[in-house]
Amino acid sequence: MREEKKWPDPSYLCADGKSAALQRDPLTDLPVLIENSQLKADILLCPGDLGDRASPSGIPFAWKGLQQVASQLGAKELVGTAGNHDINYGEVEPDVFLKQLTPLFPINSNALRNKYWTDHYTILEHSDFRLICSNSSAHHHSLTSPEADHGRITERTIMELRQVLENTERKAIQIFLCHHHPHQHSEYRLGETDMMKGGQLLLDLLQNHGNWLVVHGHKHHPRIIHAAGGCTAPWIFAAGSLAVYPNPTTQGHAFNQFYLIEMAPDTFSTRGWGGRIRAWDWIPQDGWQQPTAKSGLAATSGFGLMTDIRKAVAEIRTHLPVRSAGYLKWDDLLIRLPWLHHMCPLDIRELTANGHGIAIEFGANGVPLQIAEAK
Amino acid sequence: MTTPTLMPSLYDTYNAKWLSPADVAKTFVPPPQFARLAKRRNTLIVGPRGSGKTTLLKMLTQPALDQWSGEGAAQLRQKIGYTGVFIATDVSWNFQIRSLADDSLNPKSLKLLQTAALTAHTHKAIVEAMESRAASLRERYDNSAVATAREASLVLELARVWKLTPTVPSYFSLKCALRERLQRVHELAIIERELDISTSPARLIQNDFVVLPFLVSCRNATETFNDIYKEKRRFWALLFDEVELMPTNIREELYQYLRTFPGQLLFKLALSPFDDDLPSETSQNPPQRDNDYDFIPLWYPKKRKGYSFCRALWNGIISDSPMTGKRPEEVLGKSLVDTETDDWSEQGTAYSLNSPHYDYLTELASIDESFRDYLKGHNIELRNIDSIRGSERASTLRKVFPLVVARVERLRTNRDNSPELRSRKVSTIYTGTTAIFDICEGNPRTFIGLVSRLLEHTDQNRRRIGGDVQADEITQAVDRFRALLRTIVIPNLAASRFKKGMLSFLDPIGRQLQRLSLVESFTPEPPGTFVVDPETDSEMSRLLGYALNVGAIMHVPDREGDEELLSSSRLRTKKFRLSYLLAAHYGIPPRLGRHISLLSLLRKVSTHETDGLFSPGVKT
Repeated sequence: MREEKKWPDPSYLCADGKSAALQRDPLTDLPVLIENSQLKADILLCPGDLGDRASPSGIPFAWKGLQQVASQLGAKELVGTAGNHDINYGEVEPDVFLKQLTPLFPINSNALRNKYWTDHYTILEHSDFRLICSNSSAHHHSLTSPEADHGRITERTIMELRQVLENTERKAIQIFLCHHHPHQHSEYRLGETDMMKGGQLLLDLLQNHGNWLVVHGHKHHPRIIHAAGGCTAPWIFAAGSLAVYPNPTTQGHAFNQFYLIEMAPDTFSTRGWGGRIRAWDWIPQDGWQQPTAKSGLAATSGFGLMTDIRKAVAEIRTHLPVRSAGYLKWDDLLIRLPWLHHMCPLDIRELTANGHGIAIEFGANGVPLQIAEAK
Repeated sequence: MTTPTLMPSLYDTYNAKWLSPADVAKTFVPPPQFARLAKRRNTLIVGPRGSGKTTLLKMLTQPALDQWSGEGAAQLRQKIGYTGVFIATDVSWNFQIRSLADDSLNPKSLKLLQTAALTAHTHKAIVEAMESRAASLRERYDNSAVATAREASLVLELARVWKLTPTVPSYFSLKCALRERLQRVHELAIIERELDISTSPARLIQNDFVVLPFLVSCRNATETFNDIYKEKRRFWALLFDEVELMPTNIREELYQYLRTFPGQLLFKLALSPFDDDLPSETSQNPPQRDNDYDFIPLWYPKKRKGYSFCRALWNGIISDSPMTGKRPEEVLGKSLVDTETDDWSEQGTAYSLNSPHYDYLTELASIDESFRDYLKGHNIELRNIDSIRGSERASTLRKVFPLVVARVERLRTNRDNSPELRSRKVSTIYTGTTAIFDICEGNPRTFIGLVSRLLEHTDQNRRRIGGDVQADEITQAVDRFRALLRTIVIPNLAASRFKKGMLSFLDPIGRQLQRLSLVESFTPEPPGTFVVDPETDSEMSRLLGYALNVGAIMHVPDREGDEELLSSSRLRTKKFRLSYLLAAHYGIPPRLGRHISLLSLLRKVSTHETDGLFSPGVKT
């Protein structure tokens, strides 16, 4: 058994109670948020890095905490995946702490769990959705090996996935969960070398098999963006970290966040395929709070809408009064143009670009509140 | 002039500044001054920390009036005739603006920037008030398109005259633009610090918003609202809170606005009782009290004046508790010294043979020769107490009874057979209903804080709170208050005699009043107030002013209605007493008593005090 080593705390969440100085941490504060906001979910996802430096106490502690969160949310499943900080580099079996977890990791089913550790992916099928859980840290063994610097999905895995996807029906909701990012995510000098090798091949595969949302961790910088490719290329949600200490590089752009992804197939006919992500910030002294415009993701963000921005602008403008007659509440515009629910934050910002003639006032939580003709 | 700094306050968690106006209204209990404050008049509302200034101003705003359901609420809503604009002096702008005041900024530039910040802050408060007023009028304009068009029309006009560019023609967007303007003011200050100081004002006035005239720009806005919303006869009241914290030049400017101006703009300023920048001392043509503005004090020099308000506060506090409907006497008991109704009866009074009152009187007579002399001088034989007539009893025994209890509890004789003080927790005379009213002085924050803590000692089965529990809580309140006073170190004091903070100034006064009441020969009316001598130096006057603002001393005018705002110079010749909360620490009964000159009091101190730090402050 590996002995616990003493490192500087990387996270607000400490298995040995060291966060007592703050008297709170993001995980123990979550029940309050869930209760107060009456949050419910079908499935709880954790895109890796349960602990740091493969902490033998931290990983089970976090996994147990997540079980409780899943239970409170009413989630039928908790699905995790291995992150590079969960790997005990240099050991014969570097992911042994994950394999020893109870309930089973990454999913509490013998068959699915064994598939994950054997083939580096597993698939959870449900009548409404499909979830592929991939181990992008599967080839991490030694810190001195270049493989430890990035994630990977192998051609073999992609080939197997292709066979599965070609031989099964598409689902309305399809999610791909992994730790490393399958395309570049290098803003704020976050680096270009750590992405998932084989990521582009994965994205090419997914876009040929319906609409997909990829959920990954690793970067600690929240972002929802469309992958390169055709109009069915996957949407990629980079989840921020629940509990990590702030990274100076992304200070002011990435808070500790918790998310609720809402996807409702019965709205796809009016809004198009996609969904909305609700976000909350954890503030050390205050617990879970509404995010701000600088949190990473705003209180609500859409994804799924692919459109020509000029066409969207033209349609929106037909609903706006002349400036002297006032403005529209954003919520009223959403009723008139339901597809706007699924417009991503980058595109909403783009609506206000010079020449489009549209002005949007955002609330303190980063969500559009009012829209009018620009001056 | 020196701008007072933020004073700490007892039970600050009950400060209305943390509550929205609507939340303030939910538990609002109107004090007797509220109806006068609500009048359509310019007003100075003055009181120490915790006296309810913020609450009262917030209650004049639309959201509070809409929410308030207390007695008289509907009438007031109908009558009030103006829209209140609450302008907090909070950290968001005031302290930042004050921090600009250093030598690296041209004084003219500082004034320009401070006025620009005040203007932007006030404009933002006006927009908030307009939004609330418009919402309450909305039922008249049930078409939401019309309501939005009115809003847009007003916002675009305000943006034009205030030189703003809101993103969207909405109240919300206009407030965002004003927030950005406040930030811009601070950016300009930072820039100007780095540039040529002599040309700074010329550069600043290139920014159009820096030269916006405060009064005109506010009046313009309110008149525009009245035009668009068809409220031609509506007044607007700018309600400035904590004016004493504002920079001096802004305070002076605000005082000038108390003069009656044509137009439909009123000013109501809330501030502490002491300010060295009084209008009459800084202006040749100051606004006149009663002509230009009403002066409303929020303290009660005579303790009984605050009783009815305390009873109303009591009812408010217990309204949602199992004790609803109980009189304070049923929970706190009657004060030992509150026997007024008994005094005129001939029999069965509190002063009968072997009663507790009789026991106190006989006990003091047994240990205090001077008290025996007093009784003898009035031909009183205590064993014949039952035969003393009611009127005689009131003038000889009831009158001195609080003093008797205080002396019994604090006096003992030492080995030399001379009297000395013993320490103990707060005296019995400070427990019971009216005693707690006295100690709170009608200060709502103190009353709510103290009573709420007392009520924590009750439950379904045991609703009476014993005197010991009350004494313990009051002792804790006194200790907390003294701890706060200890933290107040007055800036810019030349002498080091008060370097230990405000208590190093107040304690000698308190101890000397204590000595005169409790140690020296018994006298029925020992000094309980002090008059500030004309020759008192300015440093000591300033200390007295700060003590007044924090509620450690109270101004006692000769006549009711003569309360006034005081400055260092106006303090002289005025009469004061220690707050009863502080008096409780020294065991001094809550009575005005005779007055004594402050300097003579302090001269007595210098002969009694041994630490050598204290010497009377006389102008040299």
